[in-house]
Amino acid sequence: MPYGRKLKNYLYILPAFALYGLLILRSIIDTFTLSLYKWTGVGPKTFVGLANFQKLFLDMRFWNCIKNNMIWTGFYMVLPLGIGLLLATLLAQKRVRGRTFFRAVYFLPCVLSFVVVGIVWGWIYHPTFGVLNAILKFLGLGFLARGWLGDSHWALYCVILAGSWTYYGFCMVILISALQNIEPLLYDAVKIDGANKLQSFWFVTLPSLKNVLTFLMILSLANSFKIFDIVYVMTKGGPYLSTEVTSLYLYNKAFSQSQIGYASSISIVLMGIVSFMAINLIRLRES
Amino acid sequence: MNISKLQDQIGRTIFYFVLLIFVLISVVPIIWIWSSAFKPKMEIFLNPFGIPEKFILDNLLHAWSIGRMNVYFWNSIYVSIPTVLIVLSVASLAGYGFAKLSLWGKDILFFILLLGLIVPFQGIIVSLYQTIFSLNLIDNRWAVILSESAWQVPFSTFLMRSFFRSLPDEFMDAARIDGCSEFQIFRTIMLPLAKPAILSLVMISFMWIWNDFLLSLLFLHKESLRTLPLGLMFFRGRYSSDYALIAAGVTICSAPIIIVYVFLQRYFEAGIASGGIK
Repeated sequence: MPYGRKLKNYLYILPAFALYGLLILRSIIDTFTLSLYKWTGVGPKTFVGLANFQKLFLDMRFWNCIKNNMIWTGFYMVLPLGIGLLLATLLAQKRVRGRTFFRAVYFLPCVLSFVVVGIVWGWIYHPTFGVLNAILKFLGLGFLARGWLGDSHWALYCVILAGSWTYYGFCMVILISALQNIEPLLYDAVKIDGANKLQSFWFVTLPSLKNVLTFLMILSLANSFKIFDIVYVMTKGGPYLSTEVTSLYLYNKAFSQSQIGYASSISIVLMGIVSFMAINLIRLRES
Repeated sequence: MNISKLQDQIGRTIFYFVLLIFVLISVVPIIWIWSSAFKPKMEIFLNPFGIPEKFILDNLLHAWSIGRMNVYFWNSIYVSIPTVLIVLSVASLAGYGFAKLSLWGKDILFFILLLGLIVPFQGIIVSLYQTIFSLNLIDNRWAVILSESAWQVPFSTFLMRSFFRSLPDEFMDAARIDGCSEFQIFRTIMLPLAKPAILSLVMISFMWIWNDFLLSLLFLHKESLRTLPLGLMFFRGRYSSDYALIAAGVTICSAPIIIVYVFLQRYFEAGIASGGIK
């Protein structure tokens, strides 16, 4: 191929790389540099080496955020994934009337903005007219009613539940496309052996979904560390830091307290955790 | 025979019961808040869960004009349309380049691009803010448009690349024999074939930018530039005791994306399932 034409080929990827390089790649590199400085955002920067990381290691507030992200991860790997699996398996049955309708409805919460989700769920947990307290009173469990988001024992779980609401539909869509790839002969084979529906789920469906399920679990892990909007809207990290997550902490450090260097070191740790998960994820996809 | 038929009946009843429960869980919260938008203020407390006794439009009109949701709505449109157009053109070019053209160092370049799928966006906001600041783009819509487009580049290029890879090379060879230039092949032959992928990409890209909160929070400090999610958050703070008005705000913010979703639902799902990574 002539040399000129080959150079021309680069014009196709040039706009993408210009945009990506100038804003994303540059920001990634800058974060590493900034994490080595003490800086308020204006004026001169002071080089401090790894002091920010040292400080971070002893910062209890940071570890509290990591703990909250871990709790988030635990729930995300079980609740939305479990519901997604249940719905995907049900919809994959033969003779389901209104399959498209059900699928569309279950996915609906996934297209909403987290601000909308946060407000809607804020209403559900509302102390005076919230649905949750109304249901509890209806069931005779009125003594459990409370202002859910103002209660530092419950707030985190309430926010996670709201997050899960936007996530099971996503898991379902991914799992449905995986279920469609299962060889139907496998089901016929265990049917001949006399397996009932539950057994064929256990012996055929689950093993065939192993890779996708692991993929979704790692994805949930990574997503749990990216949580920001919904916490910002619902609780801003409160009450008493009980719902604060890593990205919110770094946002506050950078934009309320002007500790740019320190916030960058938190960013590096966050990037480290999520990249580690994601690399495993991609490896899994390749296999 | 009859017993097994009965068992089948019971099984199917439970089956649809479970499906129905999740239909309720998925839509009732939205319907609840939408219907509250049509209730007079007091009815929200007196009759919180019922359908409105009398539908009124006051809340919606009030939120739209005095609550300035109209301004936020148009701001969202002004930010969303350029973003989707930029992502679409940049990603179809790059996706085609990576899928069909010979590039020296293609694998390394693609890997560098994939890095953007791995890094959490929240991790780069501090330095991204500095960059945008140094470009003098704070309180400028282009800060959000360019950052969001740049952020969407890796995913969307990935999506378009997978699609173009699935198209056979014979189409291109045939066009070359007919004397088409390389760009003509892309423009008139390959791009029209990519219509399903393009529609998926448009849907996902639109959903992300329409729902974006963090970028607007970072870069748009002027009230007159706020997009719907950001405006809605401040709106909730301002009218914290007027629940009917907040419900109206939520309705204005969520209705457009839900309407788009209802009509083009399969493209959303196709894009999500093929990308699967975000």
